[in-house]
Amino acid sequence: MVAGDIVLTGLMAVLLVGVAALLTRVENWRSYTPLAGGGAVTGDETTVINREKPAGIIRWLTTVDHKDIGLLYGLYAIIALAVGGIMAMLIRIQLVTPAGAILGNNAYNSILTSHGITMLFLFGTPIIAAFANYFIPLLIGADDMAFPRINAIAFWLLPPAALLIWAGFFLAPVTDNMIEPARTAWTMYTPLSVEQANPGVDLMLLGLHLSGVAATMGAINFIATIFTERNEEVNWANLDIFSWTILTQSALILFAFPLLGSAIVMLLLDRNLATTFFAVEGGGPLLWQHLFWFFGHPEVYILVLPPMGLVSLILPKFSGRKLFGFKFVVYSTLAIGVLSFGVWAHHMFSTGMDPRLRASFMAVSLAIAIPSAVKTFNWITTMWNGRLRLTTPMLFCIGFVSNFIIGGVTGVFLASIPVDLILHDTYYVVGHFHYIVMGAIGFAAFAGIYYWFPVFTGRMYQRTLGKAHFWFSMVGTNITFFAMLALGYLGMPRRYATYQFDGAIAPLTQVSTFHQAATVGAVILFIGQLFFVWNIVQSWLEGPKVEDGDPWNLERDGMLDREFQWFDEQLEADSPEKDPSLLADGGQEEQDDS
Amino acid sequence: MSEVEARSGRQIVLRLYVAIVVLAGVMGFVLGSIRPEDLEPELFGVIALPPTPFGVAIYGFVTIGIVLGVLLGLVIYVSERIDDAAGS
Repeated sequence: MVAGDIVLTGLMAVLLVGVAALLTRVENWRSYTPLAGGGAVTGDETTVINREKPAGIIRWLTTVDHKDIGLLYGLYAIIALAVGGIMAMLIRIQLVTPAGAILGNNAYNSILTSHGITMLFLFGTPIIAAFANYFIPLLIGADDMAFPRINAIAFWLLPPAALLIWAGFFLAPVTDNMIEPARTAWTMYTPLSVEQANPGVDLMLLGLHLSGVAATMGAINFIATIFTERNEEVNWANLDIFSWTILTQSALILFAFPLLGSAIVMLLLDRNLATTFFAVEGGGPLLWQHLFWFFGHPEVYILVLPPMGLVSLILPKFSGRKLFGFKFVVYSTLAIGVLSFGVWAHHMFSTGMDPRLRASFMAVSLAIAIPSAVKTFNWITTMWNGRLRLTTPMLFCIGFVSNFIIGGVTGVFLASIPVDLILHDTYYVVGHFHYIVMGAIGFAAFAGIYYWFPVFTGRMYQRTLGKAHFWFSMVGTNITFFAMLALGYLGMPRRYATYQFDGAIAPLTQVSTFHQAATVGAVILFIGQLFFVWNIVQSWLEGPKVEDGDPWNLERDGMLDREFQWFDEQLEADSPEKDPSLLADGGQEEQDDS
Repeated sequence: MSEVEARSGRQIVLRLYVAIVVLAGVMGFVLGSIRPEDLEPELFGVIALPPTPFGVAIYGFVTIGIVLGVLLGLVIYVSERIDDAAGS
């Protein structure tokens, strides 16, 4: 056994040395000194500095350029979206029949758990980081992020995080089901999560912890960048709305994610070292819920504030006028940021907690609807007096506003204690939050991808496919998630792998019908995403090249932001090869005296 | 790039309003047909409506129409009186 270990260690060492040797042969590493990354450039004796990045895979493995890291985040998020989306399809197909169509109960629970964690932590947070990394430095006129290397580390923590979170799926077949995927649901409630002996839960917790560390490092970087790296012309008064929302989101991450990390470590200790943080004789199972939701509800706003920023940025561009009440949109962002830490226990109304506490959390939860409504009001007022151009990004923005209203209003009802006691743990809750996470956050992400597609690819997407993507997504989202709201009214509990009810509990025929409707909606939604992937890949490779730095004709309305001005400068620059993405630093022209 | 035709924002917002109110009616009809337990729609909490598909459809149509209508009225009022950038 020991000899085997030594041999294995030796083999790993040889493999690592081999990989290192290969990398040094592929590219001379010293030729790549990232200027904006703090690479010391002193006097004349330094090595040659190439303005171009290394070629091939080395570029992507070694990059500290915020634009490349943004693209890496984007690719990562899209892969996670595909994985999470396929998991969602499996869930929906399973629920076509009351007895479950394709999966066993354990497989269903595993996929349900991973779907939630994948979409929130591996798609939601990274897709926002993708936009923020690529565009915040351009929008505020910075050379790069404040800490480019930390930026790279923060990204590279994510692939191992994903592998750990999904580890059970890979390891179950090779370990004879000794290590299986976690089946805790994404909320990991104790005592269930403590008592599942499966080591796959530990791996998932470690992966989640790692993704939290990555998010925190990224947040520190964004705060430092927005505070210290702004161009002298950019002050707090004219800072763009997307940067404001990223700044607020980063502050929320800074307070929320370390708490998740601590709670996860406590859970790991309870699982493996017999501590009693969440045991009845110790802190009690409810302690987990308090700690988790103290992170978990700000997490909702961590995920939704930047998409609101994207919509606030993009929607006025295609309305031909400035955002109505800009200041109030910023104030409402800050208000949501503060209030988001005072609403966590509305997830726990039915736990038997102190009714006086419940009432105070209900009040704050209702209050947080006000700044959200202010934003909605301002978006609609912006459109009212505008001249709208219904491009694909604009359609997704309008879709965002519509779905956000439905998701928001259904949420207001859940904030009310008596309503929540009836609807808690039913599909109504699932329908409500999917209107927000898919109908709003997902839509804003698509709006951002289409809006900036010319900047990060130098090409234009295919508009017909873009519009097909929107309409399939809009119709699919509303069929699927409205059916879930109706299922909630019928009393269908969430998370169940099957639903062969006693007729006295819920009417089985109607429940089946709505589950089938939700599945039809999910199929429509899925087809829409196939259009999206096809469009992005084909247009990136073969789409018409953008010759003009103002592909959306924004200058006419005086609304051309810095990122498009930067893009225009890159197009006009002679070298290198007219490809903006190949500049080694943050996109700034090299100074003669540097 | 070829220019996308610009449309009046007012028309689009009004159409959205009509679409959402009609949709609320349709959703009311659907909910009325499945008839969840203890369904007793009361318009403004006062006027009792029958728990039938049409009753709930009217409930959804009127409630959402009025609530969103008031909000839309506010948008119009603010746009005309307070919005400095209007028409820019």
